[in-house]
Amino acid sequence: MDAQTVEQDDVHKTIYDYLVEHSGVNVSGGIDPEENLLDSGILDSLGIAEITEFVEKTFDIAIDEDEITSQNYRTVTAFTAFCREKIAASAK
Amino acid sequence: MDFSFTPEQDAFKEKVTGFAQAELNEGDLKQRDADCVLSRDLWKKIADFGILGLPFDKNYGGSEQDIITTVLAMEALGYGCRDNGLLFSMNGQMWTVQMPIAQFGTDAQKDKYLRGLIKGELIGAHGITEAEAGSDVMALSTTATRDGDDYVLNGAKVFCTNGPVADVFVIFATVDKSAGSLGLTGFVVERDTPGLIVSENRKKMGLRTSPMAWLTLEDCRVPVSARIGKEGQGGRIFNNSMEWERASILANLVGAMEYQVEECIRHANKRTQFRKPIGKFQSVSNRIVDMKLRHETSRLLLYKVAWLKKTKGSAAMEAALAKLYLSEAWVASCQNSVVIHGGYGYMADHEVERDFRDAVGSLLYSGTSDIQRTIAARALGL
Ligand SMILES: Cc1cc2nc3c(=O)[nH]c(=O)nc-3n(C[C@H](O)[C@H](O)[C@H](O)COP(=O)(O)OP(=O)(O)OC[C@H]3O[C@@H](n4cnc5c(N)ncnc54)[C@H](O)[C@@H]3O)c2cc1C
Repeated sequence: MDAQTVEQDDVHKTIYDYLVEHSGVNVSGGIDPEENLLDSGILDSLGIAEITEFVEKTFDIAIDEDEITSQNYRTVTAFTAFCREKIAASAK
Repeated sequence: MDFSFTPEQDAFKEKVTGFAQAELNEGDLKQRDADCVLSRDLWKKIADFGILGLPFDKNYGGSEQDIITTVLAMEALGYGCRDNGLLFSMNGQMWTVQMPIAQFGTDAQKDKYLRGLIKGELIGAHGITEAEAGSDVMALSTTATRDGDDYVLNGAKVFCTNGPVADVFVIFATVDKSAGSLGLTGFVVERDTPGLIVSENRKKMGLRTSPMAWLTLEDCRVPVSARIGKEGQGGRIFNNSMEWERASILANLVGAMEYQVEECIRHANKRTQFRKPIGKFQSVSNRIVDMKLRHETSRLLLYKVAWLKKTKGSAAMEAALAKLYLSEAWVASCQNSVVIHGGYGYMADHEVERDFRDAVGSLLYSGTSDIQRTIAARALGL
């Protein structure tokens, strides 16, 4: 996917769908946008590395190790906002 | 993949083998094993030879060797030195104490600790595992609470290799339990810090010359300057250590497997039953061939990890596969070795019995076989 043509809603949907498919725990009831992904087990330490690699490839962005923080990865909302910022920055 | 070594690497490996054979088998290993004692004399020899500093910065006493040279040196030590516990303790310190400080620590931390660790003047230990957080180590519950210019640590650690004799501890705690693995944070804690309680040596099945302690942290106050890296970086620091440790501890095992095959061949050619050397019985020779095959395949996996780490920087899946295969191969070969030596192999005054006991720990430390399979499966997209 070309990062510059990614629609804002697509970013959210792509991330959401990825998490539902790859979550380490059962999320059949869906994931609340404000649910804590880190302490619910949806994103364990391997999962963090995997989703980072996934969004880097999918949105053609580069995430610095220092940006892998609990603030950026805690919820779907926070992670989507972080990815949107990265996409916008890489489009400049 | 190119596994050809430079003439300097080959020569260095030979030099390390000679050193290990000549210097690291001194003293009464059987007695040390029985008494659960780490030899400080041999530790100092390892340091003086430069092993503890191999891949580390010259400014702190290291020699900045690449991972391939380091792995070859470790293999040579495993081949030449019979004290598996000593080598285990050494690896524990290098990859889970020195490496986090070297890669994520401040210059002041490196100056204060790394230099002394490389020189063999300080001994380091690593505390992450807890009673309720073993394989699921990122779920640890030791807390680090910021209080002005300090952190206050509270919790308890188990299985801390080198703990009873360590001067410094790299301890992992969470600064925010709700942040999961992104709350983990590493600290260097000095032994005499009030609130750090170190148990006596805990006895175990093997690797007895590598002492182990349980730790308690009770309002253990450390300055902010004791933090390694940033808050929340602990998971990354730990995973990085594990990748190094998996590659390097295994290198010792590959060397030990080579020695073991040679020793079994010697025994099988010497021991006579039914008026023949037992090596002439196919059941025995086949067993040795299987051991040789395990040694050769283990070595290839190990070199691949070292090569990938050198050329690509990371090799998480390959390190997991190598750890899984090598540890299981080592245990299987140790069992074969006991059987090849018959009843003598079972006796406590014979080193094959000790190797077998030592080997079992390899299925557990640096992540159990199940966990290595989990890492590999996830990397395969399962
Ligand atoms: C010799 C030795 C030295 C050590 N040194 C240190 C040290 O210096 N510092 C330190 O912090 N720790 C150290 N450890 C601890 C070591 O890392 C742990 O023992 C190891 O991670 C396993 O944790 P556990 O013992 O709690 O077992 P558990 O996690 O309780 O595992 C028990 C069993 O359940 C299986 N299991 C658990 N989870 C899963 C899963 N998700 N899928 C499939 N199977 C699973 C395991 O494979 C195992 O068979 C050492 C251990 C040993 C044996």
